[in-house]
Amino acid sequence: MLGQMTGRLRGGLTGVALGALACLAPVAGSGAPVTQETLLDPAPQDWLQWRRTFDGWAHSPLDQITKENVGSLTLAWGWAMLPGSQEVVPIVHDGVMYIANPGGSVQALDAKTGDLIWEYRHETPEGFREGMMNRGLALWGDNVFIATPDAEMIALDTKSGQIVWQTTIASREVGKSITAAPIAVDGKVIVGVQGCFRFYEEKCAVVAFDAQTGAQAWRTDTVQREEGDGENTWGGQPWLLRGGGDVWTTATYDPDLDLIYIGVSQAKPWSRLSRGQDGDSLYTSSTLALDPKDGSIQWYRQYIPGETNDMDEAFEHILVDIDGEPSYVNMGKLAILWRGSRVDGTPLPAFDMGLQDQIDLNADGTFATYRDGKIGELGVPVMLCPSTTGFRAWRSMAFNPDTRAVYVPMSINCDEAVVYGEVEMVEGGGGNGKFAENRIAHPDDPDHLGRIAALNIDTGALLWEKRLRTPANTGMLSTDTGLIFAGDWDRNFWALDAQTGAELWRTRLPQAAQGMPITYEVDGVQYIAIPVGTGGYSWSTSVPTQLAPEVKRPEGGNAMMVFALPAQPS
Amino acid sequence: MPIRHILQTTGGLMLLCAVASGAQAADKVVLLQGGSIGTAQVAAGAEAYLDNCAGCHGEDLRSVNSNAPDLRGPTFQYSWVTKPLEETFHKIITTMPPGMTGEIDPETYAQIVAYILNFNGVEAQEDGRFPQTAEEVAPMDLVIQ
Repeated sequence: MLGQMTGRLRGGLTGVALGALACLAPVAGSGAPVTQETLLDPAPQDWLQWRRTFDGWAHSPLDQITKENVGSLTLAWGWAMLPGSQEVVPIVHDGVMYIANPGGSVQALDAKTGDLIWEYRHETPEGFREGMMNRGLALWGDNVFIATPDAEMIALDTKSGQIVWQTTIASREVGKSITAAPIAVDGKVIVGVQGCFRFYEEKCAVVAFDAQTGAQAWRTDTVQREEGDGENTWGGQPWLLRGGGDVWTTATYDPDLDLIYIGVSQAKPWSRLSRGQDGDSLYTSSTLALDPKDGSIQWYRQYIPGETNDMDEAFEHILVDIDGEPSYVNMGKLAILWRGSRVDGTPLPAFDMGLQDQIDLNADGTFATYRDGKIGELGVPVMLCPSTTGFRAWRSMAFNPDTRAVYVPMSINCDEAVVYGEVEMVEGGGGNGKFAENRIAHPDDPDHLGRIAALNIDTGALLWEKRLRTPANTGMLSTDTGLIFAGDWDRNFWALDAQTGAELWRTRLPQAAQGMPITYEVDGVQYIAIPVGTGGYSWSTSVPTQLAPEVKRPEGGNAMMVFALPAQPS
Repeated sequence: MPIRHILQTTGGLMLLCAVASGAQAADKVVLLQGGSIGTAQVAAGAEAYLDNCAGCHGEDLRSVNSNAPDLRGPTFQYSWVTKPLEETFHKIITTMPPGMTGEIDPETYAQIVAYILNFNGVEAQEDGRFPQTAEEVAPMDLVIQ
């Protein structure tokens, strides 16, 4: 049955045309409401949030697919997605898969068969570019939440796809946008704002809404606003001219400490020379530990004060115990594994994978200094490893508790000629300040643009690495049976041995593996889902197109591909 | 090192001047040697640009997205004039807009590039025509006078 459905709207509508087109079919599973308890201890068969659990491990307890049988995985079903920029992670609850499409539309599918249950079509304002990225969804109660590219937070009924409430997160009129999936914590749905590219009074922020009503619960700007005689870490610059501090990754959450951890990008324009000041520029290039009840900053840790080359430290935090202490690890574009206390952010020694050429570290895991020539001069080309793609970026790591390794999806390239210049220091001015670039393969590994690395978080030892012609192009998925699932831009999708990196299964996808693979179970069958697609941030399409021109792939084609073991004869 | 000190070095000042002159590129004559753009292409390209490109590169060709460069001013000088146009054109037709390359036909790409070139000072001609393939673009050179 197809029908135009009118959502019940209680949030602050801002003249956005809305529509929910639903195709109703029998719903698989019971669809029990999602609670804090559900999220704290998810059923083994579910994948309820972007990295499955609050600790960000992307590690599943499911054990039907093993090292012994993974070689016989076969296609169960596929679903073509809307065109646009793809980096999504699907979520699964009680046999229903929810998929965020580019542009902000959502489908609910029977996760066993791929049948459509309902579809919500998001209509962006006139003139808003179609197909902008959306990385995923969150679940709470009877609702699934999408934070759209045009900066709306929308709660959809998980059973029908109808709008329950909708409210505006930030001002799209001044470039604000959302790409990250929200996270639901204890009745609040929380998401980061990006789009602080040009100078405006409104800053990027982390914003929380009441999951039931859509009322804004709190808003914490990612740019420090000093009070009284407080130190001005922005070199005396007025509030208006403090750009950047974008948030484009989802938080993780520690229920014992009741803190969320979220990464904040560098300042803009990117170069401190373009900014005209070399202050630390808080809270850029930092982890913020926020109280989810009120958004207050409990602690922050800045990785690179006054960062100057667009080297984001803005990605996922994986919560682990190190030497028995509550700790976290994260890794930014420089491929340095930062480690620290999740109680107060105190650094632990960091592990530099040895690919970057920009900064030196102190033994205690803190930034020491920029290397000679890496801050550069305005208008003068400078060589940087990595390029602004980063050795890693949006593609999230996974953690396996048995190997105690993080599995790192990497894009390996450098820039031989970055040129930074001046920007207009006025309202609406700014920008990234980069006038030119010329990306090249890494001089130490000219034949490989990608790598999957397994890095022990206690010692920094490299367990193994798999070098790839094209970038590793997916998040990592770990299972309790010692498997790592990962894909690349060249349409390969692998099951790897978590301990050795040995290739146990490979298939060739119709398009680049692009997004986050997950695993789930319905009616006793374990499935592996992998998004494929094009576009993407961090120059996911242009770098391999330019630097591996012999590798061809189709022009378009976003989709969700789902695999399982062959059905056993009964 | 304090920023002001860096800017006061001779090399820094010289290069700042170079950047400033690049910002005036639109006021200078930019020649498309070995090729041409058509008046009708530019008009159609302006519309196609708004539909397909302005969401990231800005309605005034000043970027509104950190992954997207400006398409005017010093960025045009550094990233278009100093590189083979064939390379830039190939990048556009194979990667733009992100995730939507299959949605745009070859003549529309040609029109959009004609519009960008015209915006930056390349004169359009009634009988001019910017081609649809990188091979046809290969002999062309951008020169600022």
